[in-house]
Amino acid sequence: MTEWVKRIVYTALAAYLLSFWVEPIVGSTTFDVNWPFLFLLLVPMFASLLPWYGFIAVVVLNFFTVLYIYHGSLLDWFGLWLDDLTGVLSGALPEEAIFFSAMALIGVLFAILVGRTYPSYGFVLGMIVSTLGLMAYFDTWTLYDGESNILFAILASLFLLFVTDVAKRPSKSFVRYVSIGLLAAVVIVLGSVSPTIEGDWSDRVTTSFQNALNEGGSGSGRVGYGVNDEQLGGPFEQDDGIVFIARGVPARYWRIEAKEIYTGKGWVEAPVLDSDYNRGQLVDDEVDTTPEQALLRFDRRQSFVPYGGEYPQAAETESGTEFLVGDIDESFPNETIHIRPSGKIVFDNDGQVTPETIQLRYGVPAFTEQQLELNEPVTTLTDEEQRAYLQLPDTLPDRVRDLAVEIMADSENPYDQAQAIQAFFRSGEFQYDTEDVATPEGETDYVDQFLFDTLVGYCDNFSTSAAVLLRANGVPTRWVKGFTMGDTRGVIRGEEEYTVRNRHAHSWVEYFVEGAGWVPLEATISFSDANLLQVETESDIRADDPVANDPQANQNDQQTNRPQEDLALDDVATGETAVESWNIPVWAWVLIVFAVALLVWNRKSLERLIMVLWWTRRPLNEPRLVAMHRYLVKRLRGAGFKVEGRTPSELAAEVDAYYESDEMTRLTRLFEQSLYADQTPNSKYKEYWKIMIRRIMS
Amino acid sequence: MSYRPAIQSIITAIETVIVGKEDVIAKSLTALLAGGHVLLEDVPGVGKTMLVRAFSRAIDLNFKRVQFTPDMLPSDLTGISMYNQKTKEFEYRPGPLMGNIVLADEINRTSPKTQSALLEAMAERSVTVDGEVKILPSPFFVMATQNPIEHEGTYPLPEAQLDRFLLKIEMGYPSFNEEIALLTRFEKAEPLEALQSVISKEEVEQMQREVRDVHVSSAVKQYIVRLIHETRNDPFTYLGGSPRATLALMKTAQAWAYIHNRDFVLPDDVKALAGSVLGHRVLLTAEARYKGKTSEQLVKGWLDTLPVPMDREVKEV
Repeated sequence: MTEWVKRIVYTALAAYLLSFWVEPIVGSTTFDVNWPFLFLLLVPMFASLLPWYGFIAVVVLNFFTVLYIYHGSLLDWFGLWLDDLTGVLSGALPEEAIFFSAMALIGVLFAILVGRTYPSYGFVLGMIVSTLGLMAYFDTWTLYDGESNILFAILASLFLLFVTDVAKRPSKSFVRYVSIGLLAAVVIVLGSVSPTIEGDWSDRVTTSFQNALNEGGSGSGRVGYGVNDEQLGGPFEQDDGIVFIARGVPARYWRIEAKEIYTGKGWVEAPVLDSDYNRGQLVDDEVDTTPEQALLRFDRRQSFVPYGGEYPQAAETESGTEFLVGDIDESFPNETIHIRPSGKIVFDNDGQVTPETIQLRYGVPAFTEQQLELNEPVTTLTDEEQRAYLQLPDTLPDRVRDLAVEIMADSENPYDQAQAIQAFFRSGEFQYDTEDVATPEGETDYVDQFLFDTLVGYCDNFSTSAAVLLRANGVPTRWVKGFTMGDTRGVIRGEEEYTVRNRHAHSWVEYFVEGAGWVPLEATISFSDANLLQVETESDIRADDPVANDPQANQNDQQTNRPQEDLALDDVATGETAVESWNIPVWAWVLIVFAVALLVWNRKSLERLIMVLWWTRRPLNEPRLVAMHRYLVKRLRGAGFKVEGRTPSELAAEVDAYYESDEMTRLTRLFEQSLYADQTPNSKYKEYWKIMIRRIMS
Repeated sequence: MSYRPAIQSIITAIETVIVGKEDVIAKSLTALLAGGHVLLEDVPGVGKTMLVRAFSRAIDLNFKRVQFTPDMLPSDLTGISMYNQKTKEFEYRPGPLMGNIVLADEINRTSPKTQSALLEAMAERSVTVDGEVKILPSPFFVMATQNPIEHEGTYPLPEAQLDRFLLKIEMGYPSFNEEIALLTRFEKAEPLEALQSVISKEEVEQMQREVRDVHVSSAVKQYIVRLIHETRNDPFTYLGGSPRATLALMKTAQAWAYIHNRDFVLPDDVKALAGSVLGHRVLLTAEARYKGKTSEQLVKGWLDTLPVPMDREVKEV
């Protein structure tokens, strides 16, 4: 009876712990509800208390009931499942149906393990570590926030350990007290002696946004989107933290804002500039735009809004220009947002934060070659604006201006000049690197240092240099910050999804072409501007933006042009960067450590399995019997029994008293008859031995 | 092995007189079956004499009692030849040693001369009177008692002679309930008078022969020898167990196994008897005595740490 109560408590706690898996997994997939997973994971666990036929019946019934309620029809679902299976077999990412089944299988697996190994210490530890690890992983790398749950998970773990009879050890053994005392002593000593380190519990996903590219000078920064760009340069580390997930769009660069004033060290915003081009449009009215919608899901509320083309749709109201950002999040009902001259979208609330989900509508411009190749004096921009966009610091060395003239000597219009700069960077002299990058010291100019001295850098170096060179040649430019398109998640529910991470933070250039507007330029080598700039040639004007509408093409683009990772494709990439791409990411290390820890914790079961298989399959003779008994005694010692100085039967009496069994005594009788009475070993010994080994090592 | 019920009935019979001393009874029986002698050491009044008398009654053996005094002569034990004036010949008058079970009460009160006569008789199972060797009856089983409290006017037994006792047994006080039971039992009756013999002298001799057939495996022999080696190597012992002690341990273990209805010896048998076999054979150093250690404590310590061999293969430690 008490066994049953213990069993139920144990199962309930295990189920509760397992239920923590559901939220992060559901949150990171396209499922909207979590109840099917709760049922699929938890019902089998409780069913494991039933006899096997009851277990199977309940599991099958549960699976189809959940399916029916979730999907409405079982036949439809079977079709979906087959489709999905075909897709998976041909290399696609698993979709709903497969995922659903996988979760059901995990539920059954866990239920069987729970039923099998109760009350196994190793299994419970494994389950606890994997649950906490899963929560930590999802908390760190995805949008899931585990902080509120982790405490409950830990509490449940502690209770689970308690009911798993950890406390129950041979009563006569003092090992337990000694180890408790030792542990306490070590904790107290280490706790009081070791130096205090400020804990860093902040989330990778958000902190990296505060430490931007511009932390150069003082060691290594971390890649991400930053606010302050006054001091550029210095190496940085890659960061896989997720910023947002974009749905429903083809591969696009995500523009956030531009900066106008180059200081010689970095970029700052100009004083308020006011013109049409800063009040709602990027490109001239003559440029065709394709309407596009994107659904962005942020990890945390951010102080910026990325967009994929033109500024998001604006509407004039009495209070000024407002941008409709949709009504996805009820806490932000059509919130008023403002657009700053830099193109930065700012919410009209105190915290200047975005909702967690935003539906954006904007037009994606597609320039024609004629529009780009216009070479007319700039009239659209005000004089004040032109001064800002052509500004260069007095400290800029003359050789930079000379180089600009040299590069663009043969170029007639701004577009050609921009192309010339792009070609100049790609000529093979320059090298992309994120680690061995200098920070300009003292009077050194950032652009000058890169162009003439180091020739090694990342997007900031290339984009800033391009902007400065174009300005030196009289083309208005501004420096743009944002993200590249991100990693594809594949087509989910018919729409493409991209995961944009910190390491996708990027900068590029916009230059002004009268009659076309602000035209983007990808200056950084090893990056392609296919996802940034769309130019329609004569032949494809009718094809209506093939790049944007062809996911397959985009996928290819995206794969071949994925920034910073496929450096080996670039002819200037060195061996060093190739080695870097072999680096094992942190989460993989975490997984490896967990796997090893699990293996270590479960080594007993492994060893038990091997030993049982090894010994019980061979005919029993005396040396084997002695070896088996020695092994058994060794395991008993490991389980905390006092072995030294005990005769076999004394040990047996204690072991049987502890396990409330009689197998050890029976086994010992057989052992004694063989060893002390010199009789032939009785093969029944193996049976008892197997029982005892399982009992001790479970 | 056919005498197991008989053994049980001996123990049951003796227990009607001695309350709650099954271990003492079993050990005494062990010494008897192993052909050795017992030294009972305890304070007066715990039932030493009662035990011996119950023994002799239950086994239908000839019981003799000697109260040792300082003025006792060896001939008081062995018997003397007296001149018979009628037959005009010297006639042998047997002493108290001529019995099957001899209770040598307060053995440490007599002179070493007399003590050694007794111990010699115990070892040789014969006495020499006037140059004539007299064989002692069989079985011959001496149960000597000794009071550990009084030292004045006593002659402590030399170590060499203690070695001749197979076992030294301490009686100990009965527990509370046992003592109540004792009162009840003796309230109206005299159980010793009612004790009937349950086994004959011949049966005892048969058992003694069977005990020698109890198997001692090499693992157990190793255990015994290792234990004896411990007694010799311990820094607290001045004198360890002799090979005679080794033999005694094996023989008593055989008898103990026999009493427990087994035809082979377990390490448990050795452990059960080690204290009684070795307690009086191990001499402690002055330092150990000063530290208040007793030989019983040392034996217990050895038993607690010495690994029990689980191997037939003989390995020297």
